[in-house]
Amino acid sequence: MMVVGSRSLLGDVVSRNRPQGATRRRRWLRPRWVEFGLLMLGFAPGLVGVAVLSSVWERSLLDQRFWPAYGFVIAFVACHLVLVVAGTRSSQLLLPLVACLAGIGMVLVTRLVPALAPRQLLWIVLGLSVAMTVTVGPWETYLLARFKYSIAAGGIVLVALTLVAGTDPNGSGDRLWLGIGGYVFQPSELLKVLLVVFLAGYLVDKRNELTQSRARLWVLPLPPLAHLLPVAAMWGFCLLLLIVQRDLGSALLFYGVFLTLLYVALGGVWYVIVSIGLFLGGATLCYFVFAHVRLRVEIWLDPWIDPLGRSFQIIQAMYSLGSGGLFGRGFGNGYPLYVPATHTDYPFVALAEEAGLLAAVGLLLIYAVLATHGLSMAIAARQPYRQLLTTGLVAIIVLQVIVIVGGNLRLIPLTGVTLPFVSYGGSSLLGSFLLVGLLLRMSHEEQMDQSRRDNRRLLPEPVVSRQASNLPQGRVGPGRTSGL
Amino acid sequence: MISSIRNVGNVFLAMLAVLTALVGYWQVVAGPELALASGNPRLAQDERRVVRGRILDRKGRVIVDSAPDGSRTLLDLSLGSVVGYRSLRYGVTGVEGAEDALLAGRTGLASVANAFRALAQVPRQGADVYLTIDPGVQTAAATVLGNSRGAIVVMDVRTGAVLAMVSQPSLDTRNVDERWASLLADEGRPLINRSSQGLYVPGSTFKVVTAAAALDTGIMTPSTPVTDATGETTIDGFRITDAEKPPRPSFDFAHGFAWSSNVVFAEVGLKLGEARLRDYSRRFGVGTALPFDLDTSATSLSRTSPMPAPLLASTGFGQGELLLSPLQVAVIGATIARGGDVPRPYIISEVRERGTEVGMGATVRRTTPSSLGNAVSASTAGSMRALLGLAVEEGFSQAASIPGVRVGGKTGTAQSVPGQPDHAWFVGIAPLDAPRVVVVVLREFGGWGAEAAAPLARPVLERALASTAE
Repeated sequence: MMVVGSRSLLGDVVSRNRPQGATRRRRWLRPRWVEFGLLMLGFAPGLVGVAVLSSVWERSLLDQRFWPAYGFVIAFVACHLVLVVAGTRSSQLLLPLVACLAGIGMVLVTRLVPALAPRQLLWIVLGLSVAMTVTVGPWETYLLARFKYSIAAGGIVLVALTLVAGTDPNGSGDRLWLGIGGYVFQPSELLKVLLVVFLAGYLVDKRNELTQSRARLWVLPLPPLAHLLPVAAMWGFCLLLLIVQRDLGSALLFYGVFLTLLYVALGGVWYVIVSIGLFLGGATLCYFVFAHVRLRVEIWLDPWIDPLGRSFQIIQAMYSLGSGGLFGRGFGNGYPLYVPATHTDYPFVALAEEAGLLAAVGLLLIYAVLATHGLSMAIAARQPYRQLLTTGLVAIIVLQVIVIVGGNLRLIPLTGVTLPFVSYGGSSLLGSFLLVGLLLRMSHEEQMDQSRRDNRRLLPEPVVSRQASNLPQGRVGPGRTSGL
Repeated sequence: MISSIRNVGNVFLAMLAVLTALVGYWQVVAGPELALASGNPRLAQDERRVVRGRILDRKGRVIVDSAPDGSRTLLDLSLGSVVGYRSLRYGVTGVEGAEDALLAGRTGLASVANAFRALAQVPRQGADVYLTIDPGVQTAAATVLGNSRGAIVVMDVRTGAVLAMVSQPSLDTRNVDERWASLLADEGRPLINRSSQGLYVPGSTFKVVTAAAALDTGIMTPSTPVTDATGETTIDGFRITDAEKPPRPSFDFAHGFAWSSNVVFAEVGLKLGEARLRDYSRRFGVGTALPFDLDTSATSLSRTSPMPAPLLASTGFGQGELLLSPLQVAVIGATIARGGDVPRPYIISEVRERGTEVGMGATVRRTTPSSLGNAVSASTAGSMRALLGLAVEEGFSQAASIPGVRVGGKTGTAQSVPGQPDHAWFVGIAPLDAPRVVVVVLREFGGWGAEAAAPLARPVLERALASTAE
C-alpha cells in the first residue's frame, strides 16, 4: 500500500470526479445478468419456506399471510431493475446475498409471528429504498470523509436524545428506543453505521500522525495524546452504553468494530491488545459494580440456577436447539415459540430447530461468503478511505452475527443485538440496508474509477501505455464491465 | 493495510467456524439429551403427533392398540399387569414404560414411511413392541388361574423367553387416571405385577436351591440315607414340622426331596451353613432384582446376618425370611432345566417400525437370549432333574404329570400371614430329558401346593409343550 497523504488523495478524488467530458457520461441500462440469476437463487430458501408453510398450515399459496413474502420478492427485483436502469457497476453478488438472508428472515417472521410480516416487509422496502438512494444517488462517498465531524456530531445528538428521551416499548426495562409518531426507532442501529463512517474518515486522516510517532511507552508506540482522544472517547462511550443504556450487545459490537478499524488503519497489534485489555477491565468492573451485568453473566455461566425464571429464555433456547438435530423438525413443525422473543432475539435458534443443523450452518456460510466478498471488495479498493469504510461496514455485519449467534449458542452472554437482515426489527433492517447501500455505492465508484483509469491509460496516452502495460493494440473501451 | 484486512477476514472466518462447531455441538452432540430432557415442552407436544406403537405377542396378535383419540385399548385383559398403563399424570409402567421412547416415537422414527408421513402431515407411527408371549399358553394360564389371586409364569428354558405371564387380579389399563384412587385402595393390588414384583415366601420350591447346593458341594448325593421318622424336629428350641409326614421313617435324599421333608432339609441347611447357602442362592439370582424388561423387586434370602441356627434351618426348606418372586422361582427351575446355566429372562422379543403388515417393518431392536452365569455344575443339574422327576412320579407333585411326557416339579406350601391359608406354589419343567419349558404357579393363600397349585400347572404345561414343539 503506497503511503499517500489523505488530503491529497481526497483531492485527487475530487478532481477526478469533476465532469470530464466523455468519461463522466453515465451509461444507462447496464444489464446485470449475474445478479439476476443469483437473485433468483437467493429467493429460493425463502420461497421454499413459504411453500412448506403453505402445506403445514394447509393454506393456499395465495393466502394473505404469504403476501408479504411475495412483496419482498417484488421489492428485490425492483431494486435489481433500479440498478440495471441506473447503469450501476457495483458488485452483483451483494444484493443476492442480502436477498437470501432477508428472505430467510421474512419467512421466519411469517412463520413465528405472521401478524408482524407486513411490518417486516415495510421495513425491508424502506431499507431497500434507502440503499438504492445511496447507491444510485448523485453523490460520492468522499463526502462522508469530508463531513465526518458533522456526522459524528449527529451521532452524539442521537445518543443524547436517547439518554434524555429514550422510551422502552417492549417493557424490557432498557430505554434504548426513540419514539417518532407511533413508530419507535433504535438509534444504536443507525449509530453503528455513523460510527464506522466517522472512524474511517478520522483514521485515514490521522494515520500518519498516529503511526509515525516516536514516543514510546515501554514497547507501545505512543501517539500524540490529542490523537488518542478518540480511543479514550470510544472506550468511555461503550462503557456508557453498557452502564447507562444496559446495552451489552451494542457496546460489544461498537468496540469490536472500533478495534477492527484501529487494527486495519494503524496495522499495530498493540493497539488491539491494549484496547481489548481496557474493555475487559471495564467489563470486569461492570460485573462487580452493576447487578444487571452480573445477572446476565451468571445465567450465562449456569442457566440451571433459575430455569423457570431469569434463565427461562436461555433454557428454552437450548431445548429448541437440541430438538433440531441434523435435519430439523421440519419448517412449521417445531415449537420455536416456546422461546420468548424468538423473532427478535433467537431467529437463528428457530431456524436451527425447524430446519436443522444443515440450515443453521448454511446461514452462517452465507454470512461467511458475505464477509469474504465484502473484505475482498475492501482489498480491491484503491483508496484507503474506501478500504477502511468497507472493512468497517463488513465488520458491523460479521461482528453482529458473532455477538448474537454467540449469545444464542451460549458462547458469550446473551445480548439484545439482532441478526442482520434476519431478525424482526425496523431500525436494525434500516441500519443494515443503509450499510448495504454504502457498500454497493463504493463498489460502483470503484468500478467507475477503474474503467476511467483504463480509459485514460488506453486512450489519451497510447504510446506510453502500450510500452508500459503491453496491452493488445486493438483493445479499446473499459476493461471490465462486470462488477463481480 | 491489505494484509491487515486479510487478517481481519481470517479472524472473522475463524469466529464463524467456531460458531458452526458450536451449533453442531448443541444440535448433534448435546441435542439428543436436550431433546428428551424432562423440561422440554416438546415432549408432550410430540406425543400427540405420533400414533403410539402397538404391543403384539409372538404370533403377531395385537395386545394393545392405539385408538384414534390417542387412548390405548387392551385386547387381552390377562396381560394388563404386564403391559402396564400409560398416563400423562401417573407415568408409564410395564411394557409401556419399558419401551416408552420407541412406542411414543421419541426415537426410532427413521423409516422412509415415517418420513413420508411427516411430509404428508399424517401422524407418524411409533414402533411396535413384540412380546415373547405365546397366545395359546397365555390363554391357558389365564384360564386355569381364573379369578384366584396369584401368578403364573411360563418360560422357554432354552432362551429365557417368557411365554406366559399372568398376574391376578389383572390391571384394567383403561382410564387409569379416573380410577386411580380406587386402584390404589384396591385390596387385590392390581397395580402390582405379581409375577415379577410380587414377593412371597417360596416354601418347598426353594428346596430346589438347597438340594442343588447340597449336591453341588458334595455334602449330599441322591442316594445319601436320611431319616425323618416323626415328621418333626427341634432346633435350638424351635420346632420344625413337615407339611405331611413321609410314608417311611428312613429313605434316601432323593425321596427326602420328593416327599418334601422339612426335617431333612433343615438339617441340610445347617450342614451347608450360611455362607454356602447365600452363595448358591446368589448364583441363582436371589438377593437382587432380576435383570428383566419389566420392573422386578429385589428378592431376599434373609435380612438377618449372621443367621441363627433355627433361621438357617428354616431357610433350608424355604421358610425363614425368604422372599422370592414367581419369576425368580421360574429362573431357578429354568437353571436346573438348562444344566446349571442361569438364563436372563426377557419378555420383549423385538421392537419394529410399524410396517404395512404385522411382522413387516424394520427391526429397531431385537433381544438376544443371554445368560446370567452358571449356578451349579451340569451333573448337579442332571441329578436335580431326576429329583424333580421323582417328585412328580412318587412325591406330592403327581397332579402335574402328563401322560406320555416326563415332567419334573416341586410343590411348595408356604406359611403366609398367621391365621391365613398358606401360599400354594408349584414349579415344573418338561420334558424332563430335554426340557423346553418351565411353569411356575403361585396361588396367594391357596393352601396346599399339591392340591392348589400343581393341578393348575398341568394344562399350562401341555399347552406350552405343544406350542414349543412347533
